[in-house]
Amino acid sequence: MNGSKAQLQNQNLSDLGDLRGKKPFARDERRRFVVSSPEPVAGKNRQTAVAATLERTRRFPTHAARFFELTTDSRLPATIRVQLNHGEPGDDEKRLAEIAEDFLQKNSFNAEIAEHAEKNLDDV
Amino acid sequence: MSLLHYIDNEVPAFGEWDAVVQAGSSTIVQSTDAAFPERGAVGLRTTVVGTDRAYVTRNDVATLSPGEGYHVGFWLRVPVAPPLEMFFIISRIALNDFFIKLSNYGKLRLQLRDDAGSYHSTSYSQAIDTGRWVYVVANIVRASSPTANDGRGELFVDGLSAGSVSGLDNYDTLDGTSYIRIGASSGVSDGFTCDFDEIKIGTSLADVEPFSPEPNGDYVEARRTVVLVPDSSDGREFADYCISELQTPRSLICYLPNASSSESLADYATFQSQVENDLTSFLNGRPVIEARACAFLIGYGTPGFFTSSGKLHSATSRLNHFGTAFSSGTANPFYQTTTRKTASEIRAENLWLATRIDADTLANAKALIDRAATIETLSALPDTDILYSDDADYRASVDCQKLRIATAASGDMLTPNAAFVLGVTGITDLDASGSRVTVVDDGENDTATLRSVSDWVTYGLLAAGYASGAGFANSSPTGFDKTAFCELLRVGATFAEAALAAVEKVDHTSVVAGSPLMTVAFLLAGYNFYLGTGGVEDIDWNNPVAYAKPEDESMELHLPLESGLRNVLGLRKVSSAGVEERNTHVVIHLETDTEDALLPAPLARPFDTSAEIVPDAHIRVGFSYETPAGHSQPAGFEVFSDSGSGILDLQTPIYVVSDVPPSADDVEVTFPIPQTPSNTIRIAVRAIANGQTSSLGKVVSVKIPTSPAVPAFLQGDQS
Repeated sequence: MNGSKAQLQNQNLSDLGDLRGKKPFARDERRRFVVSSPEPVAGKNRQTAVAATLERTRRFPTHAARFFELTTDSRLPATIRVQLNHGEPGDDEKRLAEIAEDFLQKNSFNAEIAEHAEKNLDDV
Repeated sequence: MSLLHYIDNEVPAFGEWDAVVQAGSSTIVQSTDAAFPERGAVGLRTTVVGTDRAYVTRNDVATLSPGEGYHVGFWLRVPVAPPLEMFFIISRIALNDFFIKLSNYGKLRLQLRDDAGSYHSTSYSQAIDTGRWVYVVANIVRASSPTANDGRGELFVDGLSAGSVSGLDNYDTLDGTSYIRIGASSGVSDGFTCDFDEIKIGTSLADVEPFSPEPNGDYVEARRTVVLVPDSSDGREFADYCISELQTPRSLICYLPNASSSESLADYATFQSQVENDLTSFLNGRPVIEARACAFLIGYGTPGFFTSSGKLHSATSRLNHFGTAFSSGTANPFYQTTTRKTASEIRAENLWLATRIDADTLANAKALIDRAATIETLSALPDTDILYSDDADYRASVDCQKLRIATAASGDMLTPNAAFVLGVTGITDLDASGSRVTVVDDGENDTATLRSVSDWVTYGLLAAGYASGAGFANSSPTGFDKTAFCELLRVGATFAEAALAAVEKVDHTSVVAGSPLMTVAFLLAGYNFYLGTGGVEDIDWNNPVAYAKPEDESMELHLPLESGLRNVLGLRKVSSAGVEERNTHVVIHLETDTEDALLPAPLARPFDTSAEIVPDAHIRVGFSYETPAGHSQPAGFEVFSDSGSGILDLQTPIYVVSDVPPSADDVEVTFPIPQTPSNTIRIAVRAIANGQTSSLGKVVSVKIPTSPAVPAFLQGDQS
């Protein structure tokens, strides 16, 4: 059933809310969706495909945890392992998309901070 | 004010977090290695491999109304020096509202984003030492309106402000519900490792007060003692020593960023700016600790004196009165107190306990803690220890007897085997032997520094191995009450408690040096003396009138005897554990006449008297006697009879027993039957000694056998 049920194409960064309340992931289910990642130069967005697979679930006395693995295209260097606790399982896809998007924003975020750090050399 | 979230990381499988994100080979784990040592079993450890992130997320942390703010506090430890900078806590709504990062120089920085996307920051001037737990708090406040530039942020490290930013237009940035991430959140660098634990999110600084363990009891202890140290390398090292050796909770260490290296400050205002103000801020941000604490330890390198009205005042005396306006020479309400006071009782009198540990070197300052620990490990002071005092009246007093320690005058002699030197008149040297608990200089010799040898106190601390000392920082001392000091130590109070009870004034000149928590186990074994008027049943067994050591064979007592009455002195043995027996083996009767001259001890009367007729017209009288405790030994016995008249003639004994063997308890004497008109006589015996007589023993009767009448010569007619 990998990737067959819930491929979400052309998902826009500003419209992640559409992912809320979807059907929960099934065990070993793989879904693909697209998130946007801004380029360091403002005004440009790039669509990036993300694959999320529910590796396992586990119930603890205090919470239920869902363990996912995210992979993307070559812009992310490694696999991302995500444990989601609490919340509605139907929202997991949106939460995973937010996490993936945050990773994709890293470059622009770091550039912003680096620019600021140059103006504040008193921390060295 | 409220605590919004408290994440102690003890729930398995990250149950207190909403998400756990680990990229590549970077990890964030719940680990025993990362546990804050004073609470719980696990903490968070994040380890970065390459440039991949690993962090945890908590959603719905706070929603700020205009002008509102919140605080995030957590214990942080960097096990190894950071190779490059890393952002390890980020609060975020849509973008990065604020974050804290650690630079590769080990410095913490708080950065806040404004609505224009610019970042504003403040940094902690000190580098975070690797391996040391520090409590970090970030405060962020939303601007009060879309046009108001009054958003702000502040960074706190170990309870004190480490920098702030203000004048921010962050109204829109903080419009929403934020979440936080903790761990290797962004900008990570290979090899970075960080530990986090005890994370609190609350409205005010006090809401995110770091965990402090509940005190074990009502009296002063490490969990009630705030340690003050300069925010310096030496100060932190001394604080670490207090944590490891005194079990001081980390949250009770008050680092003083403004403390100078000067031991004596020019005036009280300077003392306030370098010590008191930061201490006040520290306690204001930690209300739980403020409510529990009752003592200060002024640590190595902290200013210890200030001048006011031309007189050198002591930091310990001032902090005795902390929280109340400085008023030189305020009367100490606990002066001469001889019972322990609870922390609440101390604070109720607007008092704090305060001692100071300072020295010429950090090593010597640590040594004072070590010496106190050595003394505390003694189950009892060795019986070779001596209390030196130049106060003969004190040495002869019941209060001093109570200590069950040998005493000697301190004048004109060396001080071998010293445990206490209380007053140093005539001392020529402080010998480096004995337990050396404390040396008190209550004379005119100024104790105006603890950082060099200036008087007997500092000589004792720095050169002669004493664990503690007390003196005065001015040439007009107000005295040191030895009785209260020693009595409180005897009943188990700490050095800080004893020292407070010994000084007449606070906000003044008394200098108290040493570990505040040191206790001294005086020898408990010996004998307690009790006194009553009348009989044994009248002895007041609740209030001893004198004390003796186990080896004491004789001692001079000064007892409050009642004139003209019989006073009864009872002794009871006390075990080495301090348990007093309930049997009374020794009772001494002390009777005085109306001129207060002591009368001889009473004589016990003989008992088991018997009498019988033996051949040759003799009578044998037997009786027993013993000398009970507190009675005189008889020198002889007098035997009386009634000569058949029925009335004993006590003026003329019919027989006197003068040869009384000391150990004999049965006496038997034989003498001729006295002349008597009756065939029955009564016999009684009493003891005599030194013109004293006992009461008569039991009166016994004996029948004298009569012979048949001699037959009369028969006269008659013989023819």
